[in-house]
Amino acid sequence: MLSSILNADLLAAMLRVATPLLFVALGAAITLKAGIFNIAIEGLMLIAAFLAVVLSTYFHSLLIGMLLTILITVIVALIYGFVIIKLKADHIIAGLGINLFAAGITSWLLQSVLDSPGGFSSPTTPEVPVVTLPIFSNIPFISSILQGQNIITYSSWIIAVVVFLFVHRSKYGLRLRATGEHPVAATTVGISPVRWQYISLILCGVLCALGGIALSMGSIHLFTKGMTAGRGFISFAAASFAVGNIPATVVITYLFALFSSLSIRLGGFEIPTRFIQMIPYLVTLAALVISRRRIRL
Amino acid sequence: MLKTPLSSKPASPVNFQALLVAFRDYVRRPNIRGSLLSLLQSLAAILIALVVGAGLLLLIGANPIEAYVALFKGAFGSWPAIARTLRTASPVIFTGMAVVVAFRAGFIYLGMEGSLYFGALGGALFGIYLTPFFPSFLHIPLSLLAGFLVGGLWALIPAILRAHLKVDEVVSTLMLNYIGILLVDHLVYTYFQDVRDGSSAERAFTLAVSETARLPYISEKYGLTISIILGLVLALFFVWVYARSVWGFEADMTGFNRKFAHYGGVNIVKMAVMSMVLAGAISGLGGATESIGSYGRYIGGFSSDFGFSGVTVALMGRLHPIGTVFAAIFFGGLSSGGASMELMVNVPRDLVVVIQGLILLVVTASSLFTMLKLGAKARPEE
Repeated sequence: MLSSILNADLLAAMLRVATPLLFVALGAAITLKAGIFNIAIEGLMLIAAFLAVVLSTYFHSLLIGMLLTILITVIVALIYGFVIIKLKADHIIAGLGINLFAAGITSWLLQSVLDSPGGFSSPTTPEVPVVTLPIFSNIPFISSILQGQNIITYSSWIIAVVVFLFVHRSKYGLRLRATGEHPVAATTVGISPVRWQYISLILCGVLCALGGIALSMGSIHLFTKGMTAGRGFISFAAASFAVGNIPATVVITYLFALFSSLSIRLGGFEIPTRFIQMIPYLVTLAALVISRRRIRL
Repeated sequence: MLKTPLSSKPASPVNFQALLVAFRDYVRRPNIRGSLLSLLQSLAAILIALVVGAGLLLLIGANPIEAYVALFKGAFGSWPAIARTLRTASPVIFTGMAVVVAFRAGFIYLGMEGSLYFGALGGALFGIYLTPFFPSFLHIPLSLLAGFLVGGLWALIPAILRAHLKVDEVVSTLMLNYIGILLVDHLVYTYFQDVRDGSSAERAFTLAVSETARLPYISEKYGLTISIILGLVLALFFVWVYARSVWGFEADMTGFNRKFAHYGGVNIVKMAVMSMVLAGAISGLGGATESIGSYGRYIGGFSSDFGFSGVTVALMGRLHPIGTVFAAIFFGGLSSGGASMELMVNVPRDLVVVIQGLILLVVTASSLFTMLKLGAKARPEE
């Protein structure tokens, strides 16, 4: 029985679940390091998921669609940044505002511009290419995990490494972390905390855009109303569990994804569907309890 | 190691009693200028949201003036419109008041939605299954009490996690909303689902609440029950709580500065639990007024985001009970006006959600005034 759950399929499913979460969790970690309690990522991810499908279909080009998605998501992230930094709004409340705005605008555009309330999909949506790495194709277990994984999954690993090098191994990362840990001390050595907060939000916007793209263009090619369903919050929890530490964020995100994909496979057993749907949220809550971090006080 | 002169300076003795009295006077002084500024700031937030909304309307080729006129007419243009507006405002008064209670004590409790569902179920179950035992004048209050208690009980989870394990309440309550709504739906499906008329299993749906437990209608046609009056009474009660009661004072002090309140003798752990549980209970009460009110049963997915709307209205009302009531009525107008705008000028009602999001985005922006150069000084830094 156990082997019917724990097999290569499970790990392949885990990778599919993890990819969008990973991007967004990295974005959350970067802003967390800059001292921003950024729950707006839920809304940024939703906007990006919507734009990715719609724009790449409209322009018949995956590349243009993705670039425009990244651009617009970054602009929204910067608007959020302007409101919390320049206008000194509350991080959490303004974040909720962005999330509500995202829910409203995507649903509005679905109905009034695309004339398909509830969701959008089109047979002409360009597909993200599936990549098979020749080096792994002869290794039995790994090849069956990686079979059918697309380019977004692979790029998420590269980006995780890049983000790690940036945050933990570069002088820019040091400035970023100084901004979050002690803005006054950062100012005295000539670092502008405001500038680094904006930079962190730009990076977060890019990463949330990639997360949204991975969500709506990864294994499926459609957008449904409210499709993020708390994934932004879950990624935020993963990042704050790891206190913004990048390797820890990656590990925790994959653990979350493992539990989520486990929960999908429990469908065959006599467990009510609603409990199965609850599992990602329960796992996140459990992680919060275990970490017991005073992240906001 | 040498001691720096700065650190060897003795701490100056503080007359804490005098400080407390000064703080009380500061909190409770009538402050017309401050209130006006708060009002202006909320109005500015609304204005910005409406202007940005108009810009978006122009972008997609709709006429913003036409849309807003239809919105306003649908919200306040006639007696039916006003009745519908008040009907939509009713549950939001409760969730808004819940936000007031939690936020004023400094806890960002966002679990209104979950408690709302639990309260709705609690109220509905009392209304359905206690039928033979009580006359109406007891049945209604008991069902409301059930909603109040069940909503509070659900909020006990994040409250205890926050107070005793220091689990941040923002993310925990967001997660518990998803969990709670699924759990309530599961309970209804498994134990209380109305299967008599072969109704589809698409939605959780209990039996109808008995007539003895139904809230009296003000206007049956528009679904307006006396829950709006209950909401007003609740708001007036909290005006008293924050102006006169010791608990209200301690809550404000905790929200103002937790350490200060602690030195002043407030039990912060108890305050955290009490304010969050009370917030959950008030949300639950709001849920019960819906299930024994115009719906007359528990229906899955009955709330159209009343929980987060509570955050919007409480902050627009500047966390004042009366301000929150007015903001809730404004919000009710937006929602019910949005529905008729969709019919009249074919602009989707989601515009209202966009406007609400924009309001929430800028409503706490304390530097808004200096940015807009309205001449007034911005609120002092906290």
